[in-house]
Amino acid sequence: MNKSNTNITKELKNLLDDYLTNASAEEFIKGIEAENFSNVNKVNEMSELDKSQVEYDLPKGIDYRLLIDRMITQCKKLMSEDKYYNLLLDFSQLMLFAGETAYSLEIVQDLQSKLESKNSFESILAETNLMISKIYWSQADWDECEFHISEAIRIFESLSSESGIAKCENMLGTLYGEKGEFDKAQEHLKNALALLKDTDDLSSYAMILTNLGIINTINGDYEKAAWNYKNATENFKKLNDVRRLSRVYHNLGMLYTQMKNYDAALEEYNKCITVSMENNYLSNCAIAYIGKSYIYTKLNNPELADAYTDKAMEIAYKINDTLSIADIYKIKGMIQNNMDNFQLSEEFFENSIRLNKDIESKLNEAESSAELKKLLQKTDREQEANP
Amino acid sequence: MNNSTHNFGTELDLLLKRYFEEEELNQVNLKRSTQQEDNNRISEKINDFYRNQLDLNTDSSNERIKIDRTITFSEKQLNPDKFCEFMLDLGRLCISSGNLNLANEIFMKTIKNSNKTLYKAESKLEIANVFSRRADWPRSLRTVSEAETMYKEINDSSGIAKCHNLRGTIHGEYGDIEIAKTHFLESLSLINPKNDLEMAANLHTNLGIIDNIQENKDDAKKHLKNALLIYNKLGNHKRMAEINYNIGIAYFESKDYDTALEAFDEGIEIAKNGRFISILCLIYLSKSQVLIEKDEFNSAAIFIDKAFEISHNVDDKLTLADIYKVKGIIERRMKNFKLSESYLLNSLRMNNSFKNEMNIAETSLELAALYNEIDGIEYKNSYLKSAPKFYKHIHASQKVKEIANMLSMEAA
Repeated sequence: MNKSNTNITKELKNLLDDYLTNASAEEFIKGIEAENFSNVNKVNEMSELDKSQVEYDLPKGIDYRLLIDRMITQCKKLMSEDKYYNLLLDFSQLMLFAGETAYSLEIVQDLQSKLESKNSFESILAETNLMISKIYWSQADWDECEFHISEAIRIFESLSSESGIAKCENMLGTLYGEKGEFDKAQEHLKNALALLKDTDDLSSYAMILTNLGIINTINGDYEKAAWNYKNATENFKKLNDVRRLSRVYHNLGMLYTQMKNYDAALEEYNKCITVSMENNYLSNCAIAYIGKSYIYTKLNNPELADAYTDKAMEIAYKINDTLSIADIYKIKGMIQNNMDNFQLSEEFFENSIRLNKDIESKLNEAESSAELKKLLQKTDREQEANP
Repeated sequence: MNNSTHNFGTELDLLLKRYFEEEELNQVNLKRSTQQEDNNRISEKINDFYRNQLDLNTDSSNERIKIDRTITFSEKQLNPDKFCEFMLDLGRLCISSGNLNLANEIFMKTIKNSNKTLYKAESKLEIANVFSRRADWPRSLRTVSEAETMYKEINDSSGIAKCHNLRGTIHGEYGDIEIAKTHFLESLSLINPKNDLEMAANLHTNLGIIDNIQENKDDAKKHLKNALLIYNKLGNHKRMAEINYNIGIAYFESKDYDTALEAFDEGIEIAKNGRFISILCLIYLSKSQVLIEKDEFNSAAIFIDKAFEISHNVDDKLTLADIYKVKGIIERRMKNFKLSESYLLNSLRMNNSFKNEMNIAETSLELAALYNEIDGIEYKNSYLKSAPKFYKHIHASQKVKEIANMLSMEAA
C-alpha cells in the first residue's frame, strides 16, 4: 500500500471514530486495509494485447493545457472572430474526448460568456450550449445537461435551424437513454432523424443511428441495432471521424455481448481500445475496458477481469465518469462473487446501487440490484433478497 | 516526446489546419516539449530537501474506492442525521485534499438525503465553496444566497456569519477589497469569538489577508499570528498550513524572503503530512516566487511546475492563472522573452475572464516589466497605466508609488 493510501485510510478512521464506536470503525478500516482486492499481479497469463491495454500509461492533462492555453491566447490575434469561436468549440470537444472534462468545460464556458455579451454569433452560442450539455451529460449532471439543451433548442428555433434542433433532439435521446427512460429516448431520436431528412448532415445522421443502435440493443432488437451500427460505421468512415468510429466499435462490442457472442465482442472492444489508446480517447477506453472485464468475468477469468476494472477505475476517476464508476463496482462485485468473497462482493454491489440511485440511472440500478439478489440467494439469504 | 503526446499533436495539427493557412501555422505551432521533459531537464539540479517537498502522488482512484466503501458502510450504520453530519465532514475532507468532484457529489447527496434545513444549508454553503474554488463566482454567490436563506429560516446566526465570510473571500478574489472587508466585519459581528473559536480564527486570517493587500503589514501579521495561536490550540493542522502560507505571503510582500521561506517550508511540511493538496499547491506557487527573488530559477521552475500539475488536476483555475504569471516571470529572468510574453498574456487572458482585478493589475505590472526589458516602451506604458487605478482603489500607496516611479523613470 502506498503512502497516500495510508493517509486517506487514517483520515477515514479518524472521521469514523467521531461517529461510530471505536471497535466498529476499527474493524471496518482493518477490513479495507487488509483487502488487497486488486488482482493485477495475480494474472497468470495475459496476451500481449491485454498487457499493453492494462499497462496503458495515461496522458498527462497538463501537457495538453500548456499547449492549448497558449494557442487560445495567440490565435485570438490571428483569425476572425467567428473562426476563433469555432476553434474554441473544437478545442473543447477535443479535450472532452481526451478525458480533460474540467478543462473542456472551462474553455466552452469562457466562450459562452464571451458570446452572451455580444448578442451576435447566435448559431455558435447554440452550439456552445449543446457542447456544455454534452459535458454535463458525461458527468451525469442531468439537470444542467437538460437546461443547456433547452437553451440550445431555444436559439436554434429562433434561427429556424432544423439540423441544429435535430442535434438537440439527439442529445435529449442520449440523456433519457442514460437515465433508463428508453421510450422517451427513442422518441427523441426518431424526431431527430425526421428533422434531418432534407439535410446532408452525415455526421449528425450517423450519431443518431448509433444512439438508436444502443436503444435497439437494450430492447433486444439485435438485427435493427446491427443495421444501425453498419450504417453509422460507413458514414463515420466516409467522414474520417475516428473518434466516433471507435465509439461504434464499442457499441458493437456491447451488442455481441448481449448476444453472448463473446469472441466477436472482444474483437470489437479491442478495435475500440486500439484506436482510442492511439489517440488518447480516454472515455472510450474506460467503457471498453468495462466491457472486456465483464466478458472475462463470464469466461471465468476473474484475475484478468479485475485487472481491467482497476484500469477502468483509474480512467473513470480521472474523467469523473460516475456512471462508469458505478458500473465498475457492479463488475467488481461479480468478480468477488465468483471468487467466493461474498462480503466484499455485497459491498461492491451496494456501492453500485447507491451511486446509480444518486445519479438516477434506473437500468444500471436494476442490473446491480439483480446481481445483489443473485448473491443473496447464493449465500442462503433468500429473505433479504426478497424483502 | 512520448507516444501519447505525439498522437495528440497529430490530431491538434489536423484541427489547426482547418483554421490556418500553411504559413500561418508556424506562428501558432508552439514548442511542444512536455511538462515531464521540462521537469526531467532540470530536476537533477534541485537539492534533496526540495525534492522531498515535491514528492507527492496526486493520483487517487484507490482513494475513491475507499471513500465510496466508507459511505456505503456508514449509510447502513448511522441514523439519518448522523449520516448527514458524517457526509458533511467527509465532503470537507475531500475539499482539503483537492477532490472537488467527489466533494460536490457528497454534498449533493446530503441535500437529497436530509430532511433538516441545517444540513441542507451547510451542504449548500460547501457547494458554494467548491464553485468559488473553480472561480465560478456567479454560481458561488447564488448558492451562498440560497444557503443564507436557509440559515435565516432557522435563525442560525453562526451560519449567516459563515455566508458573509465566504462572500468576503469571493469578493476578495475579485479584487473588491472594501466589499470583502465589510463582509468579514459583518461576519465577526454575528459570532461570539469566545465560543466560536474556529470561526474567529478564520476571520482573523481573512482580515489579515486584506490588511496585507492594503499594505497594513503590521496589522496583517498581528491578525495572522492571532489566528495561528487559535489554530494551534484547536490542533487544526489544515488551518495551520494555511496560516503559515499567509504569514509567508506577508513576509514575502515585506521582502523578508528568508522568513517567508521558513513559513512556507513549515506550511509544506504540515500540508504534505495531512495531504492538504489545495493549500500545498498554493505554497509551492509562493515558494517558487521566493526562489525567483533568490535567483534560484531552476528550483523555482520545478516548484511552479508541480503547482501547475496539481492545480490542473484539482481544477483550481485562479491558481492556474497565477502560475502562468510566475512562469512568465521565471522565463523573463532567464531571458526567454518570447516565452515569458506568451505565459504572461495567458495569465492576463485568464484573469480577465475571471474578472479578477487584483491579478489583472499584478500581471499587467509584470508585462510592463517585461516590455521595459525588451524596449517595448509603448506596450510597457499601456500596461503600467492600467494598473494604478486598482491599487489606488484599494489604498495600496506603496504600489502606486512604485508604478509612478517606473513611469517617471521612462519620462526622465
